[in-house]
Amino acid sequence: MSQHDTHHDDHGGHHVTPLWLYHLIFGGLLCLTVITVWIAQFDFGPANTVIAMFVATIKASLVALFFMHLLHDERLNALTFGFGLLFVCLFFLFPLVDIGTRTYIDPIKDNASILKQEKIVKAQEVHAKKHKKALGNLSNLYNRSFMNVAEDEAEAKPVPAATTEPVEGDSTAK
Amino acid sequence: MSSNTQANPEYQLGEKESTNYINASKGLMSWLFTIDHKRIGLMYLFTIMGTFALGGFLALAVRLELFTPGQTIMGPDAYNRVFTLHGLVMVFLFIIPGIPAALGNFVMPLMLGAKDVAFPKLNLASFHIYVIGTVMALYTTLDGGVDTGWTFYTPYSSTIDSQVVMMTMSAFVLGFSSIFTGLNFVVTIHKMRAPGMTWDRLPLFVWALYATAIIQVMATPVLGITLLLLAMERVMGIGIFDPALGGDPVLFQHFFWFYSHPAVYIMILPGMGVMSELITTFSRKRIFGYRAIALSSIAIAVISFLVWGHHMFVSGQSAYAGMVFSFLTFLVAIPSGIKIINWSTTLYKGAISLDAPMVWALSFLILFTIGGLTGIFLGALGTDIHLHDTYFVVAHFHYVMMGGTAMAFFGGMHYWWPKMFGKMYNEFAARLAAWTVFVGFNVTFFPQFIMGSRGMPRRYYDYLPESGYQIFHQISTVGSWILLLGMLIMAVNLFSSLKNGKEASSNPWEARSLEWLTQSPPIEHNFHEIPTVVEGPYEFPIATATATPQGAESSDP
Amino acid sequence: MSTIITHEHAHHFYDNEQQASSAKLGMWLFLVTEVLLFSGLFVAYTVVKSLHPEMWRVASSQLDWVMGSVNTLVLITSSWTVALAVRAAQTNEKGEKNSQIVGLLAFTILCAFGFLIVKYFEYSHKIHDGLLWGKSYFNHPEAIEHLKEGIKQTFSMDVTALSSPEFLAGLKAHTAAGTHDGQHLIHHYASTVTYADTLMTVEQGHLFFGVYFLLTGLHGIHVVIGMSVLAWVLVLAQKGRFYKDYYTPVELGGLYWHLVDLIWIYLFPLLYLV
Ligand code: HEM
Ligand SMILES: [Cu+2]
Repeated sequence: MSQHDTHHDDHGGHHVTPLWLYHLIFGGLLCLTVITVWIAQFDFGPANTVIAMFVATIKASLVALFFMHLLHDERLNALTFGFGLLFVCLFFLFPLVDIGTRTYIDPIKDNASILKQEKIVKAQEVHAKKHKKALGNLSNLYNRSFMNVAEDEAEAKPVPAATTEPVEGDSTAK
Repeated sequence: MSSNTQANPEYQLGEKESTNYINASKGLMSWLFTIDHKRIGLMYLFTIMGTFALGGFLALAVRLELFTPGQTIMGPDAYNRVFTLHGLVMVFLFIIPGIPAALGNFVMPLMLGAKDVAFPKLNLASFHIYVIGTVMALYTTLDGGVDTGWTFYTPYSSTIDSQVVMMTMSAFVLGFSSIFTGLNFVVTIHKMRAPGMTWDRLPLFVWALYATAIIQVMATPVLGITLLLLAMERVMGIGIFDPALGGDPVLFQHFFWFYSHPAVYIMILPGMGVMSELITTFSRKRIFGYRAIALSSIAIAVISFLVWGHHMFVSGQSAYAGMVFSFLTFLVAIPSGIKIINWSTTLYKGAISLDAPMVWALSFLILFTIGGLTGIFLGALGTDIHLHDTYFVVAHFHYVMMGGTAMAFFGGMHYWWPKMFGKMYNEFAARLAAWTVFVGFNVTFFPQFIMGSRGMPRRYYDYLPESGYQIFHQISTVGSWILLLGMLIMAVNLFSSLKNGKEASSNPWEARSLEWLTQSPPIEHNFHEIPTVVEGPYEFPIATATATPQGAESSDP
Repeated sequence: MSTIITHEHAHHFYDNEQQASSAKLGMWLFLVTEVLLFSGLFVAYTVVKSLHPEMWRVASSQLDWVMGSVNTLVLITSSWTVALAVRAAQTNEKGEKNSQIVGLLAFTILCAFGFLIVKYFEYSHKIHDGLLWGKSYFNHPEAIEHLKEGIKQTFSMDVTALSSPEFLAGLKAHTAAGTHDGQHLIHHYASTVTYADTLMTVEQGHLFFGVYFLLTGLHGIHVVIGMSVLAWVLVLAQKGRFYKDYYTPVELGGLYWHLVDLIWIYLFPLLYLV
């Protein structure tokens, strides 16, 4: 009578993995651990991480497929786990796309000379002052400590440090 | 069982039993520690009504403050705390648990022909955790509250001096409640269906809850780790989100919106599910495009994970990421549009009866369409630069969240009220309330589109008298009073029905899904005998309101 | 449906099998939520690392890969024994004693203890060396010494100038003021770009240790939870509860423990090796 997804050739979770397979997998995991530690001595540059992740993924698959029975269990369980991993990938993908491409289209960095930058900064400051006047004490944002620090610094030096870094860096370098 | 099971609503009933799930056992403890999904659903329902009232009063206070420029009823600091709390309460305490945990808990196992959800104890735990989280949030409020906005953006939230840690922990706890509900629902829908209840016979409400549950399970843990990291940022000074310590504040926004954009679909999908039930029942017509509606729920659930960066166009994320996110955002319009079109087509030439639930449903249809269309302006990279953080956004999300989900919630509540309590409310008062809310809602929020597009920023305590915003603010505030009136009519009507209402029959709307097969209110174990399902949930025999349901020979009008 | 009707299943299920299969699906969903929870920390790891790659190299060289490897072996072994425990339950006849299950679970829990003990030594090392998170890092001059040593080894660079009292005083002043702005330090205390990088590296080392403590700490909490779950299953096994048609608690406890192992399989190379 039951109309649910439990029916499977292996009769649900009753598939019993032979002992020797457990031992084999265990041996494999030990070997892979040794391999990953051994290989870490060599410096392949950026490929280091890729190699380490590759080995880790093999190990993880062995655990998931055999120790956790995903291979012979209901397919739904494997599907669930796989679906979860898909979302993990998305979670990695977008922030990394963002961080990786932040410098690509940056008109200020690409096109503007330092002079232009200073102009922009000045204009921003004037704008900020106006803004502050218009709002008076309305927006309590301006009372916040971290804002005050930024402001103090801006007053101490007419141009914020970050933007002028290349200039100063050059002069002090020599 | 023969095909008559589904067709004859009285089949299961025989004589109405005097014991039902409400009076089966007595005493406060029998409620607080029940594992009956129906009782848990009711407890959620009443708690959620309370949190909605709280959030509503905060909203009224916000609106009143904006009635005139300068200080009207509270100072700027209080204002920031009030709108933050309003957002937190409405999002985490009202709208996310609203339809799934209250209505879904009650109806979904009935719709499946099951005796309960798969894990009744987990269900109860989920409710208890919800209450604990609520108490923590309220305690934090009394303890000074937070003024970060419900979004907790860093570095403001990680540096200012307020109760951020406690508030994030409360949201963290609430997240667990949501995860457990979602997990329970996924398993229930997979494993607890009655014989014959195949996937293409599932009511669309169940499909929507399924899609919602997927998001709850996949997205909420990320909220958990985000809030945990924020707390660690404050407690340990980790610095991952703090530029001064070498971290990246925009990363926090990625974390936050990875959850919170899908979360808006946690909010709206169940509402869409309720809509599918209401529209078919009150058009007396088989739903148009069953499969398209069912699958579009799943499509929405998946696509909702691809678009979160549209909240971050002006945050400093890379221009490329912005372009990708903008493009992907438009994809969400497709499944949403599919639903709207299918509902409209279902209405077309249906025998529409404007009972109270249907009035709410039609409100949804109109308001959600407006909300969705304005979302397109916000999803477009260029226009959003202008509209971001203005009242246009406020109007947009209220049109979808309140105009969409809340309307569906109230519609669903009116629809299943007779089943839950066995009482009919006053139909006239119910319709009056629905219309009043519809009018009040538009008066409140439509002007916000206009002032938003003219530049009125959101979360501002004040505006200049010469800015020209005042008239819009005033209309909006007056609208909020109309809304209040509508809500009051609804509340009084529903509560008085519990005492004075007429007895409800087992199937007052002549609907066709399984929950109407059992008596109103249902017996403790839902069904005397687990039903065998032989046809889909919307097999209305002919398109007239008066037709009595007959055998399985349903044919299209 | 199953022909074996026993009383282990709750009233709302048809039979044992429906209940077992529901419980397992629920567990897998729960594991997915755990994976997503951890994925947040892994994303943070990746992003911070990509923002400060040099610092990351230097700071991660401060971890002891031997301890990490020992713990990896311990966890893998425990994963194996818990898998065998599940198998023992699967093959037990009704009414038979659960002694094999009990033994394997006890060994697994022992491994978990071993893991925690190694972690304890590791943590106390780091605390002793001042290699900590956020402010605690800046409050420990010895941490800075360690990082400089790391720079020397990693990039074969002379960093003696960085030991000057002015440098340390400047660093203190800046951290006390709450502006850990690397740029400032560059202007005041360094004369070459290389030194500037070095200083940045030293300054931001706390990020690595912050992430290290978060990741291993959250994982450690999961180890403790896993141990408690297995201990509870062990108590049930001692009562002889499990046999081939009813072993859901053993199986679910095992799944949870494997997840703890899975996460460590990624943590280990990411923190200790690359
Ligand atoms: C379905 C019910 C509702 C939900 C889910 C909801 C949700 C929200 C959210 C998420 C915010 C943003 C808070 C923030 O940005 O920090 C907000 C703000 C606000 N809501 Fe609601 N709300 C609801 C009902 C109402 C009602 C009934 C009113 C008016 C009577 C209202 C008026 C406001 C106002 C004035 C703000 C502040 C806007 C600002 O200053 O930025 N809301 N709401
Ligand atoms: Cu969004």
